[in-house]
Amino acid sequence: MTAQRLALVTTVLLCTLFGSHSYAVPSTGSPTDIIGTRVIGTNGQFIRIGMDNGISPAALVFIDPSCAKTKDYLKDINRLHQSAHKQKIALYGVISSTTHTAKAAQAYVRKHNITAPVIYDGTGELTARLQPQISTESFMVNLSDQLIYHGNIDKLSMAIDATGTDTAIKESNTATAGCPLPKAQSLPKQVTYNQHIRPLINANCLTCHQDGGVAPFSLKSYTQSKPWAGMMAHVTQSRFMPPWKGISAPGHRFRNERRLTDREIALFSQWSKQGAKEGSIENLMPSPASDNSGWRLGKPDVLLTMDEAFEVPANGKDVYRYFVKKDAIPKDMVIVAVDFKPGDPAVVHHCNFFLDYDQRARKIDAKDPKPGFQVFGNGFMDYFGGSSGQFPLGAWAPGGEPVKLPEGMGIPIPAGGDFVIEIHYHLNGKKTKDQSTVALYLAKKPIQKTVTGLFVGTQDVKIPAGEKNYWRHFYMDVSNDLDLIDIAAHMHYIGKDVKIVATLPDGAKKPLLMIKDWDIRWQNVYVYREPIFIPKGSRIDAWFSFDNSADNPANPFKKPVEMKWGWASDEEMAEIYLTVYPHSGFWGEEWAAGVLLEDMMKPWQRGASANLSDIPSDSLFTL
Amino acid sequence: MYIIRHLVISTCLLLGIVIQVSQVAAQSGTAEHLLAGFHALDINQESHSFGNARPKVLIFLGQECAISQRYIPTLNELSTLAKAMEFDFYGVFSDSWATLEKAKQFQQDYEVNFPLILDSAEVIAHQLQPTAKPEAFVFNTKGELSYQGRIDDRFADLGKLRQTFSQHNLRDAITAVGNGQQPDIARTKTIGCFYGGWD
Repeated sequence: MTAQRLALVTTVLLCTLFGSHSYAVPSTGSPTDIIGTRVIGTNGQFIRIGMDNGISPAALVFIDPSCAKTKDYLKDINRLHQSAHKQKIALYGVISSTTHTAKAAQAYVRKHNITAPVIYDGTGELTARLQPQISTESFMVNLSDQLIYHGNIDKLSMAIDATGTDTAIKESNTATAGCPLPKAQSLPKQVTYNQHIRPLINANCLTCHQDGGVAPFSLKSYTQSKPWAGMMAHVTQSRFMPPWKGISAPGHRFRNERRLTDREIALFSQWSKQGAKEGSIENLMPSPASDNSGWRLGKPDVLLTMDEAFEVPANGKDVYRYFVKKDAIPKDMVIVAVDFKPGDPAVVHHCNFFLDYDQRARKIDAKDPKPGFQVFGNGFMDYFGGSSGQFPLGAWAPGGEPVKLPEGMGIPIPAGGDFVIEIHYHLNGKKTKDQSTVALYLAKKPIQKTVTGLFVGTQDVKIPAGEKNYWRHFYMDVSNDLDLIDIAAHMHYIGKDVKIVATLPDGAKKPLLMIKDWDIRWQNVYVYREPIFIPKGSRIDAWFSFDNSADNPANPFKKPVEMKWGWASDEEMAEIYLTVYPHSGFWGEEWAAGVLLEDMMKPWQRGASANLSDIPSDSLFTL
Repeated sequence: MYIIRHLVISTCLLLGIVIQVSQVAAQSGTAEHLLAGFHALDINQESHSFGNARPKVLIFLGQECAISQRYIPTLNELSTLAKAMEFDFYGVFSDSWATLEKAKQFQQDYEVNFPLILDSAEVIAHQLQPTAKPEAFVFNTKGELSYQGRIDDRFADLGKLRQTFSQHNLRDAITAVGNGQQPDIARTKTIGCFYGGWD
């Protein structure tokens, strides 16, 4: 190979390796991707930027411990943290791995008694995104994740005080004095476990991949992680892991989102290619405290454990089963959050929760000698049949973090209901028993906003055998102002894509949810960071596609047959579930359970249309 | 020409792991028996010789690999079929981090009805070069490799389970070899957990 050719190949390789993972320097007013970023503190604890307590604007101050001037500002950082906290702004120090090891960063924070949480940017992700030039350079983003301040720490306090006003932006881009910081690397030359991979695993994977967790193996240590290096590179690249399918748009992204950036995926890939090295002990961050120790939202107000353990078989098709807790709602209550703990995390794949007020589920249960009953094929819910007796109350999927409703909002639940837990068991080759528990959190103060659930869907589904790309469209005219809190879609096995868009009265489009390559086994409820206001006169459109060809591995028929709407696993559904706060009572002000009456739902639910000319392009939905 | 391979004789201790597999015989350049000279102790210390003239199934498994785990009930059925056709049927853990303790726990938890070999020195893996776990190798009475690949086609990809599947490749291979024939399909791609510790 000639020298020129070698140089060309090297250039191409470098571009391939580094080109796509570099970030542009953000300018004030531009969108960033800071809120919700999963990082690790110098003490080893997991931090989601701006999401420590609800959701808040966030300020970041880069600290260079080797810069003598930095020391003069440490008191300011502590003081700023206090004042920011009072204003519900999350402030963090950041020590970059470009200047210090994890151990040195931890020692510095302790020695100087920095009370603000300090992020150790081991992967270099924050440094690469924000590209600070000078020590104590500061950044602040608002709730919409726009950069509203970038400049010196002296003016940061003004930005904090001016949050929510235009002043913040006017004071931005102030000159910064201090020690120059090393230039951010798009990707490090050598990727190691201690410096790069462990913080990524601890921030993104450990919830499930720990001993006794939902995942089949633990990734808690280097010894446990190294064998999976190739596999991690592969499944992160294909985005099979972390499991997350929903995409909306900047400004109303999902609060429970769990996605790696392209750069983070490249780190996994490079680590594997470079032999999955452990790296220096100086970069080994402390282990986070296990989050399996208790309930993540604190002590629950109501615990509902399955009456009996269900014996899960070793082999066969996955099991979808419903379990009834009779008279679980002894009094009127207002729910603000639901959490779930699987009895045997190895087999519980996901679950949905329902309330049943006319004992329909318990009657079906009585006919089945085993705990619970199998329902796929004969849905127990009867909301299409004129009954108001059953309605859903959220869902749980592995890795999901429980989310409390915003302050002042709640779901009123009348006394007298049965609680029904639908569990999808993923069989794993050994017999086991499961006895799972649901936790309910109740409002401690009177609520001002009654939250309720809405179904929108169509039964007009008839998918010809062999049809690869069958679409249905339905819509809902929004007849009253509402806040959209979360959204979920539902199909069965052969579902493919989902696109849901709100069109506001002025014609503006709000992309609400896109799911590509639907998988019935990863049904998530997608919670917006903040409720989205959808004014009266808007319209919500949903497009669903199905692949009923023999090429679709999920097709329940070897030789495809026509599939129609129905509850059974070999029938299909097309529905969206919306959790909303209606600003005024178009269903009356009474209990939420009453809203699913068929006659009230009619104008909402029957908006099926064969007009598919307006299927939105994928590019409408962006990260 | 005889090639004398690296010998791992008897049971020895390396990093606290019992090496249970050895290759003690020289192998002929012309002989086709791919497992000539291989001996192993299973995890219950029973001795097995792989170089004999019985047809064989070796299936590489991962102790923490969910796909391997999920296949055990099927493999238990296939081992019953294979034994009825005079096969030897073995599960092999070929990872340097595989331990005897975990292997025993695996055997108990998943009620495995065939012998499990702990190949933590990766001697068998180096000889056969499996691509993923669980991957099956079927040998005929001459020790020739008749089939290598997946158990069946229930996994379309990692995390993509087919609702119906029709290719029972390992069963077909056992039936063909048991009847003295070559299977129609001799090689398939395995969907499973990657090997991470050896090349």
